[in-house]
This record gives sequence, C-alpha cells and structure tokens, in this order.
Amino acid sequence: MLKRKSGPLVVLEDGTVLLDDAHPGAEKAREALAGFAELVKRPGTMHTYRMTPLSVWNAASQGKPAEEILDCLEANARYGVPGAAAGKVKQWLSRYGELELTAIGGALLLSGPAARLREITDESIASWGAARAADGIAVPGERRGDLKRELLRMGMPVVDHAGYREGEALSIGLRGELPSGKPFRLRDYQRQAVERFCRDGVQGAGGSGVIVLPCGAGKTVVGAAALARLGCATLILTSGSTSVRQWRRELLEKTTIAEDDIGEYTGEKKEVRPVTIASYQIMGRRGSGGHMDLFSRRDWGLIIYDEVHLLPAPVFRLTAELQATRRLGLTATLVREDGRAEDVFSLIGPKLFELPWKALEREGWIAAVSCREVRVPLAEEDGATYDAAGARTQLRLAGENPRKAEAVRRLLEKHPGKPALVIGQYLRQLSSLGRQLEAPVLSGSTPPEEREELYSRFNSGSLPVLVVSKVANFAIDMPDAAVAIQVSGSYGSRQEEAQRIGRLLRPKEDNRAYFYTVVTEGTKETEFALKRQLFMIEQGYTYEIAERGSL
Amino acid sequence: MGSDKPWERSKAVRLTPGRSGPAHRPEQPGSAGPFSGADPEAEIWSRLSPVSKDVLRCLLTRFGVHPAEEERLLEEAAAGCWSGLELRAGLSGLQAAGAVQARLRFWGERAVAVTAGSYLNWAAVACPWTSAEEKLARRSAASAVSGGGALYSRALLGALAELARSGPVLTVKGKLHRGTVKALEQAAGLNPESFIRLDPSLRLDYPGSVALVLDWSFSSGILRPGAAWSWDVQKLRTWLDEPLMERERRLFRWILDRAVRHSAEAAAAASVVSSLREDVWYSVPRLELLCRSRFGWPAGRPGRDSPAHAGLLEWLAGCGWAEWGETEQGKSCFRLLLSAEGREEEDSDGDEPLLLQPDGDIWAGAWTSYRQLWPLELAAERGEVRELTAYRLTEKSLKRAAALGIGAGQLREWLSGASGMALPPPVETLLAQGLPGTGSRSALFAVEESGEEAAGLAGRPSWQSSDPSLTFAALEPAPPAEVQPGLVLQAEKLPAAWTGVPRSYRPSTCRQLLESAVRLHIPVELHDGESAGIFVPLQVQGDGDGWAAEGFYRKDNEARVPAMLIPGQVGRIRLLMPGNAAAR
Repeated sequence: MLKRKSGPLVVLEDGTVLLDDAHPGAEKAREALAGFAELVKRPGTMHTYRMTPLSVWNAASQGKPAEEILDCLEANARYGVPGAAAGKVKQWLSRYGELELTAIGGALLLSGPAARLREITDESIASWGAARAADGIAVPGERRGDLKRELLRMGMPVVDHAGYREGEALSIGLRGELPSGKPFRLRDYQRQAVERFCRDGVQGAGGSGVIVLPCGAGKTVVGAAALARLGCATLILTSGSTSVRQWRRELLEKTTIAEDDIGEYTGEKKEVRPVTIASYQIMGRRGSGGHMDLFSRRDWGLIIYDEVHLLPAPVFRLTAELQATRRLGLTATLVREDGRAEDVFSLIGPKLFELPWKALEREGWIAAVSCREVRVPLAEEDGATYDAAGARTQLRLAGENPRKAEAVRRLLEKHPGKPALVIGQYLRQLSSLGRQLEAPVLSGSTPPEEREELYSRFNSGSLPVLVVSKVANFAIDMPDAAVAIQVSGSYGSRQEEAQRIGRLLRPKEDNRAYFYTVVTEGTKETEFALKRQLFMIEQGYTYEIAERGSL
Repeated sequence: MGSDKPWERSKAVRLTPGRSGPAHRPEQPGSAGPFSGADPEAEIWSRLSPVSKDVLRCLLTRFGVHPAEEERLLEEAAAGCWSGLELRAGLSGLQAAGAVQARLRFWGERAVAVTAGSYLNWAAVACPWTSAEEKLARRSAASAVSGGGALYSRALLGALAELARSGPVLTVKGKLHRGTVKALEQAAGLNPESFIRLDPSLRLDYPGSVALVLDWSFSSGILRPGAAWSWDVQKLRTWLDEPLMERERRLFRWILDRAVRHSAEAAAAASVVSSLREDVWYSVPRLELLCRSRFGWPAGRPGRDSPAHAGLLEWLAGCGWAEWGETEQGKSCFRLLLSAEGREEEDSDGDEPLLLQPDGDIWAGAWTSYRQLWPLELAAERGEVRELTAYRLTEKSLKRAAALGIGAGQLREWLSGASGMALPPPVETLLAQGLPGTGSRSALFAVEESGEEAAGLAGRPSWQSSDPSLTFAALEPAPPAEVQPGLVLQAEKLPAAWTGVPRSYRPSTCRQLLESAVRLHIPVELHDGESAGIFVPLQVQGDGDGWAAEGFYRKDNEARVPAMLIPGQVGRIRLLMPGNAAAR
C-alpha cells in the first residue's frame, strides 16, 4: 500500500479486483479484466471483480499465461499487486495443464506430476473404476466426463487430449454466395473462433469448448462453419422450436447441405437425419417421454450446444457420457445462474474464444445500444400491500406496477417508426400492456404458426410494436428491432438482461438501438436491476438512470 | 482538496535512493522531521586506534546498547588479537574520544555503553557491509509473496480511536478497563515482544501489542500519562496531518530504536535492516549469515531461526513496510518498501478522497489523509483494512459518535467535504434517525481546536521509562581510566631496556621478559632476521632455559594465530607497551 501510481485497478490480496469506473483508463482495463475475472457487483463507481480458479482457467484455455494476467494487473494497479494475489493466480494457472488425459488403446490414461496424482484419493479412483498405473491412473473410457468433473471440483482441471470419434461422414461446405446473390464469407473473428475449436495435434485443446460471442455476432454461422469444417453427422441442441427453425434456415442459406439431410426433433417433428436440430425442452423431458436416446440414434461426430448457458441438468448428465464426441458450446453470456459454470467447463469444455461486445461494436459488427434505467414510483394503491407482503410478492407487485404502462407509452413515443419490443415476465402485465398499446402479445402459449407470422410481420415493419414474454429471451432473430423496453424480469438474472439486449444487436442502418428497463423505485426491483446489469457493465455498457418525471 | 478525482491525486512518490549505510538518529515519535546532518560517529571512528575500534565492535555486537561492566567487556574483547593492557588502553581511548559513556555503579564498578541513539550509526561505521557481501546478498529478481499490506499506522489510528471512545477512563488502580484493553488488542494486532523493548510498567499490565500502542502514544506525546490520562489534541493533529511517507518513516525509525534497546541480538538485526536499500530484494539466508558473521551469533540453521531477526523482519512485513518474496528458484527474499532515511520529494498533496457508495459504504483509499479517517474511525464501523477500506455508519456506531459529542450536522458536513459527493440516501437516512442534529463539537472529532484538551491534565506522569540506557545515564559518570605503562614499569622494577630497541637475550632472560609480559598483559615484539612479529604471551611454562610460552601471534592487527614460543625461536625481543608502535 506504500507504493502507488495512477491506475484504475485496486487489487486485493484475496483476488478481488476493484475497478475505478471514473478513471480515464477504466475502459481499457475493463476489457482486459473481463478475460480473467468476473464482475460481482458495482455499488458505485468502484466495480468489484473477482478472480477465481475457473475464471483464470478459462483464461488459460485461451492461451493466456500467468505473466500476461499479472502484467495486466501490475500495469493498471494503483497500489501494486499484493504478493498473495499474484501467488494465487500463479498457483491456479500452474494447475492448468498439469493433469492430462490421453487415450491408450481403448482406455484412458490420466498423467501428471506424481505429487498431484497422489492427491487423488483411492476412494475417488475406485469410484471411477480406475486404477493406479506405473505412469498415471488408468481410467475406463466411459468415465471420462465424471473424472474431469470431479477433478475440477478438487481444483485440478484436466486437459483432455484423449481425442474424439470421427462420426458419420457428411459432405457439406460453406457457400460463397447466399441464395439472395450476396457474397458470403466468414468474418475474421468467426474464422478465428472456428480455428480454435477445430485445432488439433500437439495443441490438441480443440474439439470441445465454448465460443462466446455477443448476440447478433453470428454464433450460428460459427456453428455452421465448424460443422462444414469437420464434415460429420451433427446433433444441434438449441433453446426452442423457433430457434430450431432458425438454425435450419441458416444452415440451408449458408451451407451446401441438402434439405433432406436436416432433421428437426421437436414436439411436432421427430426427424433424425445427418444434421438433426433438437430443442432442450424435448431433451429435458422426464420419464418415458424422454428422448435421450437421440444421442445414440446416429454416430454423431459433433454436438453443438446452442445457448449453452441454458443446458438443462439431464443433458449435462448425458454429456458426461459423450466425452468422445466433439462438443461445441455457443453462447453470448457464459453465466450460469444455477452456479454450474464448472460443469460447462469440465463437460462441454473450456472457453476457447471470446470477443468483448464493445470490440465488435467498434468494428460495426453489432449495433451500439444505449441502456437506460427508468424509475417509476409504485402505484399508490399498492403501497400498503407492498409493505405488508413477503419478498416474492413484493417483487411481483413492483414488477407489475401499473404505472409502468405510462412510462412505456412515453418511451415508445420517443422513438416513432422504430420497431420496438416490450419484454416482460408476467403474462397478466403483458396482456394489459398489449391492450393499452394495441399490440399483439407473443407468449409460450402462442401457437408456432402464429409466432412465425408475428415475427414475420415485425421483421417486415408492418408491426411496429410487439409485446413478448420470456420466450423471446433467446435465439429469436428479429434483426430490425431497434428499441426494447423491459418491464419485468426474472429476479437478478444477468444472462436474461444480456439476452434481451441481445435482441437489439443485429447491425442496422444507423447501427443504433435503445434498451430501457422500467423499474419501480425504492423497491426490491431496483436492487435486482443492479444485479441484472452486471454482465452488461462487465462488457463496458453503462446504464443511465432516469428518475420519475424526467421522461 | 485539490480535486475530486482520486487518480489525479495518486501521484507516484519519487524517492531519493536510499543510502548504503544508515545515518540513523533516534527521535521521539512526535518530534519534527527526521534527523539530518553529518555523522559525528564516522568522524570519531576515523580517529580511533585499531584496538579501540575492536573494543567498540565488541561492545556493539555483544552488548548492544546495554551497559557492559568493563572487566566483562575486556574479557569478551580478549578473544581478539590484543593483549589485556592494550584493550584497557583501547577502552580508555574510546571514552576519551566520546564514543562511549562510562558510569560508576553503586559498588564502584565501572560500566560502559554507547547511547541507544548512536547505536545504529556506530554499527554502520563499525560493522559496514562490504561490497562483496552486498553483491552476494542482493537478488536481481523475485516475486512478492506476502507483506506490503496494511500499514501499522492504520492499526495505531484504530487503537487511538478505541482509546478516544473509552475516554480513556481508568480504573481506580490507574489502569485501562478490561474491555478497552481487549478492543485495543484487537486493533493493535501484532505482538512485538520478542524484539522490541517495551516499558516494563506497561508490559506488566497489558499484552505486548497494547503495551506497544501505549508506549508509542506516550512517547509521541499524543496521550499524556498521569492520574488521569489526557489527550494532547495538538500532537494528535500534527500526527494526523503528517504526509503518509513521513509518518511511516518516523514510525519505522521508532520501531528500530525500540529494537535496538531490546537486546544485542535485536539491535544487530535492526542494524542490518537499517542498512538495507529500499526496493532491493535480499536473500534471507544471506542476511542471516551476515548477522551471524558480523555480530557473532551462534551458528544454527540458516533461515528465519533467530527470534529477533525473524521477528523484526516479520514485523516489518506485517507493518506494510516490507515484503517477503521468492526467486524463480524458490529462495526466500526480503525487501524494504521504505527505508529509515529515504526522503520523498512529494507526497503531501497526494491524499485520496473518501468514496461514498450508493449502498452507504464509505471507502477510504490507502492514501486517504488520516485527518479524514479519524472522524470515520470515531463514528463508523470499519471493515478489514485493505487497499480500499470500507467504513459503514450504523445505528450502533452513531450512538457511540453521539456519546463523543458528534452531531449529525457535523458528520454530514464533514462527509460531504471529505468526499466531494452528495450523501447517498442510506447515509442520509441513518444520520437523520441516529444522531442529534448538532453535537458538542468534540475536540477529538474535529481535531481543530487550538491548544490542548484540558480534561484530565493533572499530576506528574506516573509512567516513567525504565529504558536501560536512561537508567544508565542517571548513574555517576566515571572519569576515564588512565593507563600509564611507565608507572607500571616502575612498579614492576623492570629494566628500561626491555621496552627500548629489540635485543637478543639469553633464554632465561627471555623467559623473565615473557613472564613480565604475561603479568602486565602486554605483547612482545619479536625480530628474526628480516622478519618481525608481535606475540601476545598468555602463559609461560617450565623454568631456566627449558621454557615454552603459550600465546598467539597478531597478524595485521586483526587475526590471532595461536602459537607456542620456545627459546630457539626468539631472536631479538622487547616488551611492547601500549602506545609504542611496533618496529617493522
């Protein structure tokens, strides 16, 4: 603490890093910090990040050595980097890559420093059906996922070099020209992402992992390119039937795949073809209606987990058994609200590629979004009920606050002619808003055909305002949406906030979009709003606060 | 405040390079400015005879600043290459030169000592690092592992706030209440007993860490002892207003001074620490070896196994003034982040403002002025002291603030001023609910009153130092012990020729001459053809012509080469009286 210089970061011994948001160097430091630390809170101008083993291992998997992380901290630290913090980063990073899993014949060998292998208890080894061998621990192939998951929990990440099955071959390539006649080629960052996933040989870290790109940056294209590069039968898992159809459209538009080679596996259709697109919903279905056998219905060479942050528990369980198949996770927000980020790391794979949202915005690949939090008072008639209610009801009362309708109306008036989405959590509130705004409401109960029609009308510009429930949180392609007004949400979900903003990111004519979140001031909702905004703040976005009466 | 942007005030501190050797002078913690000026010790040292230098070295390394009985000192020094009378003359020379003080104990015994204040300077000139030693000890690169954290002065600040909250009110026995002691112990943290001299009267009543806080508070004058302890608000203000680096250096020097007073071993460790350069990594085993060779410590495992050495280094790292590190090969290293004497050119305008957070937390940076922190310490709950320390106003803390006479208006005004920001709603709400609008403007809170806090100022201080050097200074000065070799010769009725030009004698005469040398504790000068040497006989055995003299040769006034002298080895010989240069 004795030595100091002008820097935006304050590094604490326990691995916490505080970012002084008002410092001129904050923007640059934030971008670097996002690569190896996670934003946990931002009570004022000092934003709190935390370096954890997982955040540092994810950095390591992208090729960042300890020196790069420590140099970045040292260059920006106001009081230097405490020895204990530096020691932690070095220790965590030294663990990454120590243990390696390789294939020997039909079995697997876990090798690494003898001292580290000794740390693994005999009970654990027995539970995997494994045995100590002269040069490591011999592990049955089917326990590959369990082993990686448990060792990660013990603080020992395993680098998996055991290789993958080739899968059923499929002849497919990327088109050079779209059906519309426009030329098509991968963007540089898309190509880099595909390269990192498909790299092989000595580096060997490809074949399984997660690509993190903002909404609208073309994650589907990255998936399609990986599929074309590997040329094998592929199972694509995505969030719902709408996105199943979007994947199908994208593949047909951007690759040479034949229409008959693409199957949809949803509530309505059960096609299993060389490229099969299924929804998490159907895969997660319990009991005799489950469809987990889809994983074994073909010799898949690649499984793509779209919106990997949504991967349900049953799929996780099965994925543990599918470690010999290449796995590609795609997401805009590698944030698991259920705390299963470690499982994504060990079972799908480490983060292989990530680009800051603002970097893509600067390049013009995604639209620039202005974020604003609009605070409205609680309706007077709800005041007494709110004070007497429990926490859950309080949140609902604040979320459904009828005074929000007026704010929404005014916000829409500020952007005449811009296609606008009104997004919310509570159907009663959405129905009411739909009536007041004379706009259709799209929710989970809307039949697929009607949904498609609404999307189509919205995208064509004939429908200026669409009120949507959380079904529109993910993988819905509405390229022209330029305004989104969030009227309620799921507690403090960071990924929901980011995904909703993601609806606006597709490049536009003026490349500008507006996100508003309307919250009831002085209630639980404002507290949750702060938490919801964390991911976007981490990405360098700022929220202006508009108090009552300022609209 | 010059700006509300912390980074604009976070200027890098430019330090002048640390000196290779210390020019250390003890000071009272509250006195102004570090010592500067020429070192009289170096000047005196240049005038001392080789034997006086050796006696002084012995005194410094074996006794530190503790008084040494003359005979005991001469016994210890006799392990060197000098004879008894030479050593006595050397000691006399030291006193005459003003290097040591001599006192008579009540039973007439003479004792000598260097003053605690001059110890580090004497150690620097008497036992300097050689460039080879420094080169061996330095490490070009290492990574910090621990240390360099919260500054000890922050612990003192917290402890002062605890004292302020308690009054301090004393029991009928004139001691702090148990609850206050417990709170102080928590605030003070580290226990320095293994290497810091604490006043025994405080040490008897309080745990070591608390005794240190009180010792420092009294020495600095911030707290005044008496029948009732009282505050000197002026002194408190001066301390709070000091630039950070200056305050830390002053405290660092005070700690070193206390280590010097603890024991010879702790003094040696302090001496080595005070000669380290700022921001340079040193090998810990090498520092240990240096202490061992320089100060004659017993051999042992290399590493941190010397309690004083290890304790002092640990303490310095715990105070935020030093860091432990590790080389790439995993070797333990240590570096000082500030030296006792480095002088920063600018750090007075570098205070960081308080940061008010929307949730009501008040964050203070490591360089936030202590004048800003003091009211927070009194009126808020503090989290762990870190690079950014969180304070929070709570109902409980505001009640305590109200008891100190602090009003909501004062706090509001001060918080706005110190942060340059509007108060966040949680703070406003708390202030509105938890405090009376105006307080009695406690002098301790505002630290703005001129003059002193009058309450409790009474009586002669009951706390008095029993520092060994102070106790020693109070004894009757002893006149320099005169060593007059001529008188000795007369008393012994020895032939004058024996001290003149070296001559050849018969073996039996040689024996008599050597026996006289043993009795007088003087060396003899031996000539054999072209070569000459000095031999210090310790014992002569046998008689007539068949004798053997046991003793040692002196080489280059430094080394002692044990030898046995027999008649055939003696060419020309003479007694070498102190003050007679050996003929070469």
